[in-house]
Amino acid sequence: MIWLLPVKSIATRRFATGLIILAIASSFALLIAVEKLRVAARTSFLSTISGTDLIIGPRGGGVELLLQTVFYSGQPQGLLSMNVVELLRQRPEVAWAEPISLGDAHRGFPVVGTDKGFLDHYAYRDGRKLVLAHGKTNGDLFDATLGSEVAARLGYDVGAKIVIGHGTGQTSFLTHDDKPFRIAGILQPTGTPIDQAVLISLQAIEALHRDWQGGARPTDATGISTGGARAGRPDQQRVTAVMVGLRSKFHALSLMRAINEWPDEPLTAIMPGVVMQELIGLTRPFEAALRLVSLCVVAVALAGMAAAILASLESRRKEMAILRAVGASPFHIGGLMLAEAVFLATSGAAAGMLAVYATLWAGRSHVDRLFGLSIGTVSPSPDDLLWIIAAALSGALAGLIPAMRAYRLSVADGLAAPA
Amino acid sequence: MDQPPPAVLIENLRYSWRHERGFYLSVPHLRVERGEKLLLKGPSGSGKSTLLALICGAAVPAAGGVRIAGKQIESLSPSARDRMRGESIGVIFQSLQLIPYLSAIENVLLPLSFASGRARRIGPTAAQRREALDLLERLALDHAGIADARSDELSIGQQQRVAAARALIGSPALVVADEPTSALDRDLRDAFLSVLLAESARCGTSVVLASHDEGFEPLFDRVLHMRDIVARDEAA
Repeated sequence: MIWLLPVKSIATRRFATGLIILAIASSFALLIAVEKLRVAARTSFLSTISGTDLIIGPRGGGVELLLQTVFYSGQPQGLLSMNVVELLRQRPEVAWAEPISLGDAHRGFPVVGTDKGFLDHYAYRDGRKLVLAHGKTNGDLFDATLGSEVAARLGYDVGAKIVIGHGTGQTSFLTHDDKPFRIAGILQPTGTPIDQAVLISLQAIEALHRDWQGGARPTDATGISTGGARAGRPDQQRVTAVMVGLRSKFHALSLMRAINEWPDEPLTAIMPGVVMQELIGLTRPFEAALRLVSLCVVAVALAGMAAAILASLESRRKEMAILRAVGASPFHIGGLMLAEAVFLATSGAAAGMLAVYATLWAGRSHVDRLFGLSIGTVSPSPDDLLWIIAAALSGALAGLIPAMRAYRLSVADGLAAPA
Repeated sequence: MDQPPPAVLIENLRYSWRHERGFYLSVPHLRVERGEKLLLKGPSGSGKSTLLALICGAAVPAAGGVRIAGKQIESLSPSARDRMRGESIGVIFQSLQLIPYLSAIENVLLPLSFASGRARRIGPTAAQRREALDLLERLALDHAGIADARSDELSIGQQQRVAAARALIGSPALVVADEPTSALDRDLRDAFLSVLLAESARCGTSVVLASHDEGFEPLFDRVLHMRDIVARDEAA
C-alpha cells in the first residue's frame, strides 16, 4: 500500500496535479514533436532525390552542383556537352542518364529542361515516382509540365499559356514572349523542389535560345518563329548536368573516378546522398538550438512541478506526522515526495507523447502534403522509452528539493504537526 | 521462567527543549507493565506531550534512558527508532488523525506497511483485512460501507475510533494516546475510551494516555499526575 500513497494523494488533489501534468505533457509534447519533425525534416531532405546514384556536371564544387541540380539554387557553374551524356549512356554500368538544363525561370520558379526519360527515372523518398495530377506529359515542343506548387501559387490550370523568362531572377526583364508555352500537365505534390519547377524539353530550351545572340533578344529579322522552331526541332548541344542511375551501386566509385579523369572536358561527379549528408551537417547548430529551447520548456515545467509540490508541503505536514507515527521514517516521507514527482513527470511525459502520436497519426498526411515532411511510422519506438526514462529521472531530480524539504520537516515536526 | 520486560521503563531521563535553554524535563523513574492502562494527568504545558514523544522515540533524551518492551530506544539509530515505533507502538493523536485520502480500512492497515512484524503476526493480506474489519466492528464501526468510506467523510467520533483501530492493529506492545478525547463530547468520550481500553486489553496492549480531562480515573489501572513523576527545573 505504501507506494499507492503518492497516487492516492495525487488523486485527491486532482485539479492541481492535473494542471501540473498538463504543463509537463505540453512541454514534453513540444519536445517530442520537435524531435519527430526534426527527424522528418532530415528524412525528407535526404530523400529529396532517390535512385539517382551520381550527378555529373562541369568541374566545380560538389555542394554547388547538388544545390543547383536538385534544389535549383545558385547559378550554373558551366555546361557539359551532350556528347558526355551519349557516352555515359553507352557504358555498361549505366542504367540510365538524364540530362538537365537550367538557367531560365518563370516568375521566379526555375525552368528545368530535360527529356521524357526524366519523369520515368527521377524518384524521391524511397523510390516514389513523379505522377501527373492533371493533364499529360509534354507532347508539343512548347508544352510545359508544372510542379504542384507553381500551379497552386500562380493559379494555373492545364491549357493555360505561360512565358518563360530569360535568366533565373524573380523578375525577368527579358522574356521569351515570342515563344509562349502551353501547360500540358501538372504534377502531384512531392514535397521536393520539383514542386516548384517548370519542366520543359531540352529541345524547347534550345529552341528558346537558338536565335539569341550573346544574351540579346533576337530581332524581327533574326528571330525564329514557333512554327520554324517546331519544324527544326534542334537538339540541345550543351546541358547543365546529367543525372545517372547505375545498374549496381558498386560501380559508383569507379565511375566517379572515370568521370574525374574524363579526357575531353573537366567534369565533376558526386553521389547525391553523400553531399546531402554534408549539407545537413550544416544545419546541426540550428537543430541543437531548437532542441535546447524544447529542453528549456521541459525544465521550466519540471521546476513548476517542484514548486507546486513544495507549496503543498505546508498543508501536508499533518499527513507526514501521521505517517511518522505509524513508523514511516523521514526517508519514507522524502521518498514519497520523490515518488510523487517521478509519477507526475512520467505521467506528463507519457500523456504528452500520446498527444503527439495521436496528432501525428491524424495529421501526418496533411503534414506530408502541405509541408513535404515525411513523418514515417506513427508508433512508439525504443527512443520513446528513453524519453520516458529521461522524464522519470528529470522528475526525480526536480523532486529532490521538495523531498529534502519534506525530510527536514518530518525530522523537525516528529509526530507533532503545526495545528 | 523470565518475566517479560515492562512495556515502558524510564530511568533518570532528562530532556531539554531546543528553544527553551536552561529548562529540563526530568523523569527519575516510570514503569508501565505489560497490559497496564496508565492515565497521565496534568494541565497544559506540564510536559505530557513531551513525555509521550520521548516514549515514542520522536524526541531523544539528553540523559537517561527509555526502554520500550526491553529495547533501549535512545541508543537506536533514527531509522531503527522509526522501525521500533512502527513495530511496538500505536499512536493516537488529539485530532485530525487520519490520512484524508485513504479509506477507513486503509488507514487502519497503514501501520502494517511500515511494521512487517505486526503484519506477520496477523498473516497474509486477506487476514490483515479481516483483522482490520474485526477491529472496526468491535469499535462499533460496522455500518455498511463505513470501512471503505474516505476518512474525511466520517464524523469526528468515527475518525477517532478508526485511529484507535489503527493503533491497535497487529497488537503492538503499547498504545500512546495524547489527549485523544479532547475533540469529542462527553458521551462519545466515555464510549471511545471504553472500547479503546477493552480492545487494548483483548490485544494485551499497554496504554499510556495523557489527558487533563476529569472522570476517566476508574477506567485505568493506575493514574499518575505529571507533578508526581516529572520535575521541570531551572538549570543550576
